[in-house]
Amino acid sequence: MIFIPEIFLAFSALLFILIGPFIRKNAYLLVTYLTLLTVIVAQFLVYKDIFHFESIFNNFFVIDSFGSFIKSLLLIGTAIVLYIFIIANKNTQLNRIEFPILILLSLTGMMLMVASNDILSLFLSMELQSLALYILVAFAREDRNSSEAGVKYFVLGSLSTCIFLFGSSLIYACFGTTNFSEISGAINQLNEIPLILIIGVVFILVSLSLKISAAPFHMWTPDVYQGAPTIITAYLSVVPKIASFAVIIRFLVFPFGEIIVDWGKIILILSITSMLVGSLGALQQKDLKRLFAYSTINHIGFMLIGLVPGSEDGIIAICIYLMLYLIMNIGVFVVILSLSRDNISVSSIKDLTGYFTNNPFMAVCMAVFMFSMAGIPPLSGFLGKLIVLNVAIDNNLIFLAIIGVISSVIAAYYYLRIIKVMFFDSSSDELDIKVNIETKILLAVLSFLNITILFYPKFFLDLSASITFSLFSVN
Amino acid sequence: MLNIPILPLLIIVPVVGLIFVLLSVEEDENYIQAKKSALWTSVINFLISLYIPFNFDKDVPHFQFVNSFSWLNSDNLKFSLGIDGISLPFILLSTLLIPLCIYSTWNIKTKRCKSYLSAFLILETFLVGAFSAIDLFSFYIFFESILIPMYLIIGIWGGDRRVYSAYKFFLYTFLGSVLMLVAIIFLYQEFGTTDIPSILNLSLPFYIQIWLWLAFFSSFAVKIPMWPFHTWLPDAHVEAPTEGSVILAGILLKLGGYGFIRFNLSMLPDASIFFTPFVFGLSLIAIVYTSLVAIVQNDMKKLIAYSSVAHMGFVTLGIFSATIQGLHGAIVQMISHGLISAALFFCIGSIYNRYETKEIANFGGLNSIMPKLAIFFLIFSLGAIGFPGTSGFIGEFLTLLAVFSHNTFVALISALGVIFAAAYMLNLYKKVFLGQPSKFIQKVKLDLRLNEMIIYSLLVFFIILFGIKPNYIIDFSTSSLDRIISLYPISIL
Amino acid sequence: MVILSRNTVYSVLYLILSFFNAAIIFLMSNAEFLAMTLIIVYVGAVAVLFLFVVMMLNINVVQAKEGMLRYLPFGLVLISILLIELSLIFSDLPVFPESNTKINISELLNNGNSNTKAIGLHLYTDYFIIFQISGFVLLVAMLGAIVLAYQKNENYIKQDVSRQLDSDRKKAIKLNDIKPNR
Repeated sequence: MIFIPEIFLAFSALLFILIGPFIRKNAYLLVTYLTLLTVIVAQFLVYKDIFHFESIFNNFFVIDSFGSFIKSLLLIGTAIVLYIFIIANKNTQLNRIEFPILILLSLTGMMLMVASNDILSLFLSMELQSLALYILVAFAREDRNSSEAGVKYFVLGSLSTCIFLFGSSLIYACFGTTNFSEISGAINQLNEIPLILIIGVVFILVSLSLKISAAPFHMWTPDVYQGAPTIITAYLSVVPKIASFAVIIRFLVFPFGEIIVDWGKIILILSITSMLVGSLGALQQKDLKRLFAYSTINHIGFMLIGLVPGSEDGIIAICIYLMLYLIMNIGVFVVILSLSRDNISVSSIKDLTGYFTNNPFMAVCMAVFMFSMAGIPPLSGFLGKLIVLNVAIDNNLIFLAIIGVISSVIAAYYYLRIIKVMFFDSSSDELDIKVNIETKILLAVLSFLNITILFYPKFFLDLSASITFSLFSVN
Repeated sequence: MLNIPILPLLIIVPVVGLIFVLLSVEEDENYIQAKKSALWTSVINFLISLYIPFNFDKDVPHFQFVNSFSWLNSDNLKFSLGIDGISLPFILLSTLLIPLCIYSTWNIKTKRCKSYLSAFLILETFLVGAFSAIDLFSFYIFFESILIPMYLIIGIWGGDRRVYSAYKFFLYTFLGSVLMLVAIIFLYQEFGTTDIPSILNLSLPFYIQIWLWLAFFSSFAVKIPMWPFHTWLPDAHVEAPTEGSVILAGILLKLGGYGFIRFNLSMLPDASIFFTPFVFGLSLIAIVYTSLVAIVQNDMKKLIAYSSVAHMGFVTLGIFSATIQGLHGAIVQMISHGLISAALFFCIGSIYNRYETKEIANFGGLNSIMPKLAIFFLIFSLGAIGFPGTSGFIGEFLTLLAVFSHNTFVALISALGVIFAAAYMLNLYKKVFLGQPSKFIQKVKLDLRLNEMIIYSLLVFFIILFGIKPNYIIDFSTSSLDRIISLYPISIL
Repeated sequence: MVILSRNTVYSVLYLILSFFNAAIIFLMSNAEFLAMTLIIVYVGAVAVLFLFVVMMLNINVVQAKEGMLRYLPFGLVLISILLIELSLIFSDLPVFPESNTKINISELLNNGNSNTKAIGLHLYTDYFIIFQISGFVLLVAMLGAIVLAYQKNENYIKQDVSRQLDSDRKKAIKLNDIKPNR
């Protein structure tokens, strides 16, 4: 049975719901550990069949190496988030068994999303993951910000759902099918692309852009990032982004690869606006979480560059960028999560003042992530930028590459600002110094990866190349 | 020739030393142990680098000591290192100046000494890497990486306005170099290789050359710095700690000149000819304008910083005159400026450590208190002026010679720069060291310490050595430069 | 009319009307079972529940409607854009592709299956996984409702045995030394 990881995750979630109430003490902790274990087991299940190709469940889902790769990224991201939750969470409102279970369910939704080969299944699995995410964002009930963020996310998410449904109904009207493979076959037979199809694709694209928060559909991102509990922000900024991005790639490249002329331009505009909004919007931010919301938008813009030509190289570049993004962003949020003063979590940039003086290790790790995000060699972020720009120039999109590098210079300004605050300023109001050893180890590993990845990029390139091959061989 | 991977060794040794520095025990406030390990590392690295000139084949124009490692997916993208006659002097300069910098911190209490020393060791790794990279991507990686330690050095250990300067430094250079990155990727896409030796053999169409030239120029002109892009330099110099200024003036600026020779001139000769008048114009403005600005400065470091811009103007003149004398002159000028400005910054550092100010107006008659420093400072000032017998003279002389053969008018104006240099340097000397001892300087009575003596003597030795026997530099680079010039189309100026 | 009527109860009734209309569309395409289900589930359960909620909450309608007019032009612009787009699309599409749907209901009926049976056949065979995922979506919704709404009620009075046993005379009575003179 090939479809095991998702089924395994779903049933473990059900099991945890059942056993949760019967545990007396620290039920949430036990369930979190179990969830972490489940995720790790699922990871092995994914690895087992990573180069397998099969379409299953009446062609509703497809298993291929691209999907499996993204799934394993999702699992790694979730595992790290769960681990951080165990070791570093300070928000006691989150200490309930529903928290890991909801994460698990949203993860299941995302994995199904990545594997979907049909608009119907895509829609349902997307709903599964977003519904779980809405709840997670609003999880800290007593925190007004969290509830507000939850409502905002919910309203905009529902809007995106409506748009998605409308778009898919248009596509259905065009072909009478929702299956990607059949759509792909039908498009090949058309001599002329009907307008209705393009509008349908655009609608779905808009809805997915809302999910990956590509500008101009990014409005919810800063508010939700700021309002949600930090651990959820860490989750939100990495895992669903990867999943939605993978869906965009699969959706555009596989069934609609033929009409790249039409969606290529839209992606181009999305990419440019995201890069500019992401770099300019962050300049004035005072809150770290808000700032990293904009930084995410900027990175998304960069990744979209890779999608503009719709070529295999581009997808490889995106895969690598996603991997690096995971490493950088999770690291940043581990640091943010461990910031506290008198045991109360803080997250404004001002709070980092003089961090180097009282906690040099954390500050250096943060600096590594910052330089990496700014894309300065020899750190890993540079590799991502390099490969993406390479794709852009390869496809004669030099102006896009130039906008990209200029936006990265602007972005460097705010990353540098954080470093400046940490290293150059001296603080009067010191943060708590105590950070537990597990957090430190995790950070050390992440920063080590960030420093060293540039020395063996070949491995990642080969990996991504072998993965994306499946996406194109079907076509 | 022994088959030792000498360049990777040079790059790795500082990293190994860095580990020792970080592991060293903080036994006292002076961090002697950390300083010792840092110093030993850099001295060892210098000794290793001395191996190169003795085993270097002067008659071969191509790259030697080549080591490549596969890096990205294809065979065309390698991580390759190698040196030729152009990069050799710069590598030696870097490995010489770093130990001097570390040694100069010996008796001074620096905050976070360990991080400070590690920053310098990392910097050495990147510098050697940048000078020895013969692949565009590896060059870019090292070139950019330098920003990180330098940003931190200026930002953490700098003066009052350090944050502003660090920002300015970082963003200026970053903006310049990302454009270069686009150009590099473009080259890679067009020709499928980033190996510098193989790109040298290509001839590119003119209109592409123009754009590439501008992209590379934007990066190196900021770095060297040329006139309209130089504004970060005085700020960075003034705010950086002494050692930071030394490295900045001594080596980092040379990366710009090195880049001009290596990339703009050799890879894009047609565009270089096209832009020669433009570069000449900027250089002349740089020489005259910044010299005049230097005269009115009242901060010693700022004065030297502006004089650096003027001196670099000579370098760009020499490079784009594209004759053998000009290029020799440019290289000698860069090396000698590396030594002299480093020495001057060290001197100012010595003064600053004693009096905590760099304002010229506070000083006067310092020779009565620090006679040894006065002597050394005089020698270095003469070097900066281009006094015969010092290396500065050779550089300026050769450059002017080359420019004369090009265009007499340009040469005349640039010769003005030499006069201005004499004006501001001697003026500085007069105001600080000669005259009536001011009250201000009486509070500290301490001449040079042993470590300062050693550093200055070494620098004086090299300055005079290259002043008398510039062949030590010139001989190495002749064959490589000949190759560049032979590829260069006949000049149109 | 759902959002325009001033009285919320009327709004719900209009909502029921629109559900009926949707059901009629289903009827027109020969899907009687779906039409009935729609009426039963939505009208019978959901809308009635809405009615209860609306009546209980007793929202001040006039206040809630304030500021509606401000967004009216913006909304009109959006609506007109959408309408124009739609008209463009459908004018572009002269013949609506008729028989390219995967499931042909009339065909199924002709095979002797009843409407209900046909739906069941599809739902539990071809679309089984979709059905399951919908189940999970509902589960998440339920979990969410519990997480966000359930509260441990701490307002009622109950005996705390351990506290009762723990108490003794010294804790129960506090002796204050009061100086009579002051």
